[in-house]
Amino acid sequence: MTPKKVKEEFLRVDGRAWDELRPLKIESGVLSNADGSAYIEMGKNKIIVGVFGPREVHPKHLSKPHTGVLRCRYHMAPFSTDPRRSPAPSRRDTEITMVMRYALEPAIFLERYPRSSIDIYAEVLQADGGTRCATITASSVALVDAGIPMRDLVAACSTGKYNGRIILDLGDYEDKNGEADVPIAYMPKLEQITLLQMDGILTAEEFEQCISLSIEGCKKIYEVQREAIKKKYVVEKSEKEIEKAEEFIEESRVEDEQ
Amino acid sequence: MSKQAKIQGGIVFPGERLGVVEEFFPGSGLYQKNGVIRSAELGTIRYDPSKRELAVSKINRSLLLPREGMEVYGEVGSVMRHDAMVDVFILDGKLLPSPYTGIIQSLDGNRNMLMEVRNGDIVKAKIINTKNRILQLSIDSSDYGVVYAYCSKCGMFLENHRNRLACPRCGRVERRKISTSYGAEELN
Amino acid sequence: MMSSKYGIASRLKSKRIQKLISSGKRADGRGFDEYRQITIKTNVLEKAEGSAEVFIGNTRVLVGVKIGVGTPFEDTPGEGVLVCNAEFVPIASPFFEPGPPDENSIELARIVDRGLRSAGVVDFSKLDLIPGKLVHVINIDIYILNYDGNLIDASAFAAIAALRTSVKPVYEVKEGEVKPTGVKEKLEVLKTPIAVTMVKIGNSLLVDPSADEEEVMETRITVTLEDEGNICTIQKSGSEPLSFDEIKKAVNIAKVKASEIRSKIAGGEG
Repeated sequence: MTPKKVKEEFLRVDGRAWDELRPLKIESGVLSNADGSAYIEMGKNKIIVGVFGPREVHPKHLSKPHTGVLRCRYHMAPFSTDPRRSPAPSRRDTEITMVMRYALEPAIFLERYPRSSIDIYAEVLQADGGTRCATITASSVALVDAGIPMRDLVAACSTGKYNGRIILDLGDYEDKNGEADVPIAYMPKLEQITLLQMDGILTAEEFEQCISLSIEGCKKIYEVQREAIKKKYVVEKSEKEIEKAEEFIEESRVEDEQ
Repeated sequence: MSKQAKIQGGIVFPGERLGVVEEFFPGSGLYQKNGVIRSAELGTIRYDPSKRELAVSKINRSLLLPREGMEVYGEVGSVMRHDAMVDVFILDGKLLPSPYTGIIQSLDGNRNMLMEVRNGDIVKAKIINTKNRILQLSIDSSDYGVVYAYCSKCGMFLENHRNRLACPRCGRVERRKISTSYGAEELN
Repeated sequence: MMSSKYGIASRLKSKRIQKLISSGKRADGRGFDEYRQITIKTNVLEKAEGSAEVFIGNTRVLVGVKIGVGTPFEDTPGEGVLVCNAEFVPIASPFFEPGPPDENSIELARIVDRGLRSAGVVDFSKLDLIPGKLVHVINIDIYILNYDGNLIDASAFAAIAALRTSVKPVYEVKEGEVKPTGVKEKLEVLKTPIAVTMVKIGNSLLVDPSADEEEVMETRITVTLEDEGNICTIQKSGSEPLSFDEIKKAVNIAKVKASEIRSKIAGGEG
């Protein structure tokens, strides 16, 4: 369900339309020492993510006999913000680390790796609003790059309210000066939401609009994630194999629905 | 030709819906939830019409996970009469940045591990079980066993003289269950 | 810098590398005084006052410079402040763990810091705002993104390349308070110190050690030289000694390498 078209056309502080994402670039496999990695630029956000594992958990007391553990770290570089921030993790970093784990966990078959851990380390090199969503989006590409089987990719973006209007993918200025912010992470094929936070003031109707708009945004982001993975793993001549699969998936879906 | 056969070789992403359980048997690289079968991998679809089995073989990095039958190298930790702990640092020929914990056990209780390996030795072994808490290793075959050992008196590398390990510095002779490749492994 | 947990694996590797080096070769085919491919990118971050990313082979270091306002050190009340900090972030190597800086990252930051300071890269007296109270503070944050040896040189190159492209916010001083004017001017950088790191393996000195070479090295020496060829910082690290002759040799190698790299950094701007 797409939100109703707004009555008036307007442009945002950075010239975008209300339902337009910032310029988005994702690259997969950018670090040679990590098992998997990805780099994302979303607006002026620049974030690099490295994945390690599955590997035996050290220290051992953190390991679980029946399942693997997902460990995340969201960390901002001292030069990522204005003014400079201390390199020591803040309370905000700790919270985002946690919601990032919850957003990605449903996509990973952790139960296949007892006594092991999968570690995702994200470094925000430049922050421009919406870093948690961009981090989750990049992490999911890095997980595929690491060869970790997944239930689905996870794409994330936020929708919010600025100057009385519902808009997609808040930039730093809109985030800081707006009325509300709803970051969401979404598994596009399973149609499930794995991250949901909200702050500010919204009516119930506006909140629903925000979620619908975020989901549309996540679907667009998902296409960019696929492109990034394709670029690394699928050579040009195999592109038709993807198309072939896409046709099959669509046919099979339609058939089963009948 | 069935629609599954047509899809042979198609490339799919994790999460993509490939059908329902009634249509075919799900092979590797797939998972099912609520009767729907989806890909768990970035990979190529393989359909075996004789078994009516659909599978996805991955095209991204393969995971390095301990499996039964794999050859490993490790450093011996504490040794007791019936078992010896091993820090596995090479798995299937690849150096691990962080080790897996393994154990060599005297399964029937008749062997004395203290006569076979010592703390600090490097052993070459085979994984025989991964299902328990830690990797169970075997050094039974002649290929397997200690590949490097230190003198327990003076710390020198022991040299193999006709299956007897002797210390070139202090002359001490020690017993181990050695591998046929003792002293010749490259370990990288 | 990164010692393997397995004494024996590292001893065997050490033997192999030593054998190769005694026959005049390095594992990657380089000459003893040859750097890996060096790539320098500047102005890679829009929000920092200066930035640079340096690649030496697979080693990758990002430096961000932030220039703000703060209080001066007590012993230099009329002078600006320069602080170097290094983060070994865990994406760079499976051996790096998250946590506060350890001795390696502190040593790294201090070598870079001393190189810049001793060379006199900036005129600190010009960074004064309100004497004794407020000065410009230059924060140089070194971010290790991928580790494959020789972090010191990569960090030092990135730090000076970032400083050379830095801008400084201009403040208006009125009645004991400073106000940002929104204008930024180029930071005046007077010198371009270049660090050259060598390791001793066997009887040879090797420039720009890889991670493998650092693992088996006996000792390490970093010589930093400024534009006139004067030495401005030296650090010997590692538990084996060096002879006077070896040190003289290291300084001579560093002199040649430093001027080559300096022209690369000075030319890499734009």
